[in-house]
Amino acid sequence: MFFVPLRRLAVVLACALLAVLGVAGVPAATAQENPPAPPPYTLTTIPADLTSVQNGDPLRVTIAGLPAGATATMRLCPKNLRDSLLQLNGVSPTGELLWGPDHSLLSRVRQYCAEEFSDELTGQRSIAQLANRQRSATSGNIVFDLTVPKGSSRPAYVSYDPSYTSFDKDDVYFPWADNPVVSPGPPQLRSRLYSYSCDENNPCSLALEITSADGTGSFVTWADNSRTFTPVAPGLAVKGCAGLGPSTLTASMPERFGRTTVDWNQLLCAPTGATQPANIVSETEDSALKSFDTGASDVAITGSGSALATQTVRDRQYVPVGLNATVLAATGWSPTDRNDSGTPLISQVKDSFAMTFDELAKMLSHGGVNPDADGRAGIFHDGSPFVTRNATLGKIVSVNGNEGLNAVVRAGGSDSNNGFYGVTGEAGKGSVPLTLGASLVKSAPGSWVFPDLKAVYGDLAGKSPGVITELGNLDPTGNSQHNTDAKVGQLAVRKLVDSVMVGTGALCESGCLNWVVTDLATARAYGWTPVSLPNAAGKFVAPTESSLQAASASMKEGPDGTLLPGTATDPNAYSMTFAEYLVAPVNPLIDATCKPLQGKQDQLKTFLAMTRAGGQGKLAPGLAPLTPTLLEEALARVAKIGTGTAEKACRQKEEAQNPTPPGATGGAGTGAPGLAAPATPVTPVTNNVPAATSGVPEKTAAPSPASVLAAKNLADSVRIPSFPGAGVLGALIPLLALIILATLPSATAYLTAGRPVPPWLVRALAAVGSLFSRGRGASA
Amino acid sequence: MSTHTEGKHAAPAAPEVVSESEVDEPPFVHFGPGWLTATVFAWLVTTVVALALVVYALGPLLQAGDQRTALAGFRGELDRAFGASQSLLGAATSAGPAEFGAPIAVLEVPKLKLRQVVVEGASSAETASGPGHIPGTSGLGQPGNAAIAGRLSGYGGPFASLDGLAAGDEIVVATTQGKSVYRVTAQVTRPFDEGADYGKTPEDRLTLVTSASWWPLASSEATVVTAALEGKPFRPTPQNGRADAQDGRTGDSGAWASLVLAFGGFVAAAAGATVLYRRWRPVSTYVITGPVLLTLASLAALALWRLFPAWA
Repeated sequence: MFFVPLRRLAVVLACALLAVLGVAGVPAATAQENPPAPPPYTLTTIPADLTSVQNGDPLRVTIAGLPAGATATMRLCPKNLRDSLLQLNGVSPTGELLWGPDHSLLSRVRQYCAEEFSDELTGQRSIAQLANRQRSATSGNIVFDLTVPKGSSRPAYVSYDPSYTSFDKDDVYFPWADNPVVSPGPPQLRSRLYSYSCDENNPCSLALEITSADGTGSFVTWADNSRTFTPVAPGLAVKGCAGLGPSTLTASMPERFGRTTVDWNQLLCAPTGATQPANIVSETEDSALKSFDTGASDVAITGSGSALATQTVRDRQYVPVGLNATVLAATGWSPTDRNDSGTPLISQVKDSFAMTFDELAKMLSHGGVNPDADGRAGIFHDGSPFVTRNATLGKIVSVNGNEGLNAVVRAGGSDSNNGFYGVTGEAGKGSVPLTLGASLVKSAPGSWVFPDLKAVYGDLAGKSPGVITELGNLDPTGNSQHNTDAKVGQLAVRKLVDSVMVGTGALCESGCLNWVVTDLATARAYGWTPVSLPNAAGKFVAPTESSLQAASASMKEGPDGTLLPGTATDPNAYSMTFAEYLVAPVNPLIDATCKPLQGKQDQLKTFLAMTRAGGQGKLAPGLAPLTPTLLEEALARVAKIGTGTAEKACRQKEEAQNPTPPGATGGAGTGAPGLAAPATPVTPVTNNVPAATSGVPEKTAAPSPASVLAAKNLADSVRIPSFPGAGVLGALIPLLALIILATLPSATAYLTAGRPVPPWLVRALAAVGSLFSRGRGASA
Repeated sequence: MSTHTEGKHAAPAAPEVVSESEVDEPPFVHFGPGWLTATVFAWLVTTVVALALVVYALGPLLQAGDQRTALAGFRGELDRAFGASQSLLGAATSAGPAEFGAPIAVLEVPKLKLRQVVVEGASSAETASGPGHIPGTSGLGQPGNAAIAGRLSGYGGPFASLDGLAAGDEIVVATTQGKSVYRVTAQVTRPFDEGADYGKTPEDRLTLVTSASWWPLASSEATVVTAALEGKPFRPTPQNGRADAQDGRTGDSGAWASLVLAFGGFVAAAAGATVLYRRWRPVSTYVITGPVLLTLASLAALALWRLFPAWA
């Protein structure tokens, strides 16, 4: 019996020891209670202001000014961290344990913020929780490259917090314990588990545990939770304006232009708090152009003129508003850096890989399965020209040293179980795939060819994909070889690549990559690194503001007056540049009764003027401003807008909404020959715009995540029983009916045939009748 | 040892040899006017019973299967809508009207313990799967008058207890836009008035309609429940246009071809079975003709029911 309390005491002491083991493990470290006065480091974040960050935004935390050997661990903690810890201060002469409060920030961070943190965007644990980083020997900094987390921690016990401890109050050593067992028996359930959330209502801090040598050479550990953040769900919202009004334009556009349009809106309405000039409706470009043509939208954005339009009834002007580019972007990690001990240190890929058109064409047309064999045409193999040309790529190797698998890690494919083979992008028709196809048809005709596999590529086996209009064209049959695994919407694309982006998992220890076919503005927004492509002189050119502007100056114009992708010839040009055009009507804007909408027309005029002036300075990162030539072009085209007649607008609207069937004469116009297939029905996405507080009040509610979730919860709770009805009877009735149906027609046929009733049936019926009579007699 | 030879009973020239088990069997019935009357009557009863059993007894099972499929599809739609609502630019709206037969909402009437997936369209085929949204009326949860027709008795009769609703009762509709709550304002049984029940209304309301009669061919009297929307409606989305065949009380005239085919087959199979029962051993005949009769009777019943008003 004597040994039992002794053993418990040993357990308590062991737990206390474990709680401070992190400090004890560092040589000659001193405790937090006695830190050197001025912290010897500087802490910076990009973005610097973390008060309105969104879930999934790229976030870089840099600790500078520390000597060699410094390390840091990051945890996500509540901004107002709980302060209820106890610590063992000793043992009284009578053998009683002496407990006292532990206000140490380091202890609180370690104990309250030690559990996995689930990130809502990725659906995985956040890399920011318990991330360890070492000082880079090359930069002298400790760098955390993260994405802003939003979510909650896994509920867990906190041993030395009385309210959340897993110790028993009845135990003589923990009289302070106040978390009673509510469900005995393994596993025991107690009344409380500690958890916390980081979201718009619950600000959190990036709690850093920094260990470094001080001036005397002793290692010191600091806890720093000075950087707080309030993460919100990803989305676009026009701030400072009064919502929608009667003159608000409906603007259909691809998702890539959303950020710019939000900024443009705010530029016009935020200073005065006026109603929003343009309501953003996100659609694929073919749908956006259809919406414009039929009058469902007042303006639209496209990067390829009328090439994706299925009909062009409405007179329009294509007003250039910015320059963008199709890019193949890499996202992931490479062991390019070294720590102070010379050990490779992974860091986020920021170098622009140089890639030839042939390599790009093969990568996207020769199948994504088994890149260690002939998948991706073998361009990721050790010693291939692509890998040799890009040192960073060559350093990304398989974690287990299996050289044969190096190509797999470089090509991406970490999620092959879910049908993802390393390359993704947005699904649906758009200028991004169109520019890609137009460039590769011209620049790599010999490589832009599907393998001669009839079962995989159908009629296109051995042929060129041509000028594709959507990424899905690269996997033309159901037997996909995963040239690209396109997803609907940017959010889905981000979710797919973020598993590599966050760099978690053993597979990423020696580097890992994913690839996205996207546009430059989207790549910049999410921190993906675009590859450089050759110019006309064979020199690799990265997509930058200057290379996009150089391209636009040398691109040819198509019949509709828009720049044709893939025609740049300038030596400094990034070849896959395209111009973003705002499609605006030549005829006046009209209402349902064909009356001109003067207020809207004035709004359109103001909006167009802004796009040429202040709007050029508010383009989202990645979009390049127009060149002087394009600005002049824009001016000339804006002058034509609104110059037509309401009658013509009315007639065209009617015609566009009731197009002449294909084959009939005088039908609606079509897109560029050979490009536009019939429009694929897509679901437009409207932004969740707050109701106007001035102007015309909103009479309807926009669907929101909360409203859809409420509906989803109701649908999820519905259970349709296999056998409707009450209990056993519900199953018996159909069974009985089936028996009758199976016998009745046959019995009728039997009797119709003149067959006598079988004696056994006569006897059985007689018996039943007798029983029935007896039963009636007894009851009488 | 004795043997039995099929088809030899009516041949007087041949000595009839029967098995021991059939020694006591009474002789075959002689054909005559009585036999003919009894036969016609028996087949009429058989047809009516088969029709009733397929729709009233097996119908709920078939409808539940359709409802499960529709629910799975609708949950997928909701998952996509929820994902879109969290996307960069917010919640999605549909580009065009829903396809006929597609699940568009979940309808919950707590007082009736009713939870059904509503499908687009109210032809007989659609209401066999569940309550149908009347094309040409507003979208559910959206501005204006949204109407749903459902069956009173066939295929589980989801709207069988509609007359049990009273003013103030709650009706909940979940669409891909969100959940909308309606409050019953009136419940009446009267001649159906298409203008009043399916027409445009200044207020945002839900109209539930079903037959007021158990008689499956009844198409005039209706039980109509109207309910007012609480709160703001969701933004309107494109809806299908009005069609006469989609008002909930019209049968599907296109089912005639199926009926002729299935019922013709049934008559032929019944005649064949009758002949075979007269000539062959009963068990062998049943094994061969039983499944055929069952299948054709079911198909004929289903086709016939499609001709009846969709709210029956």
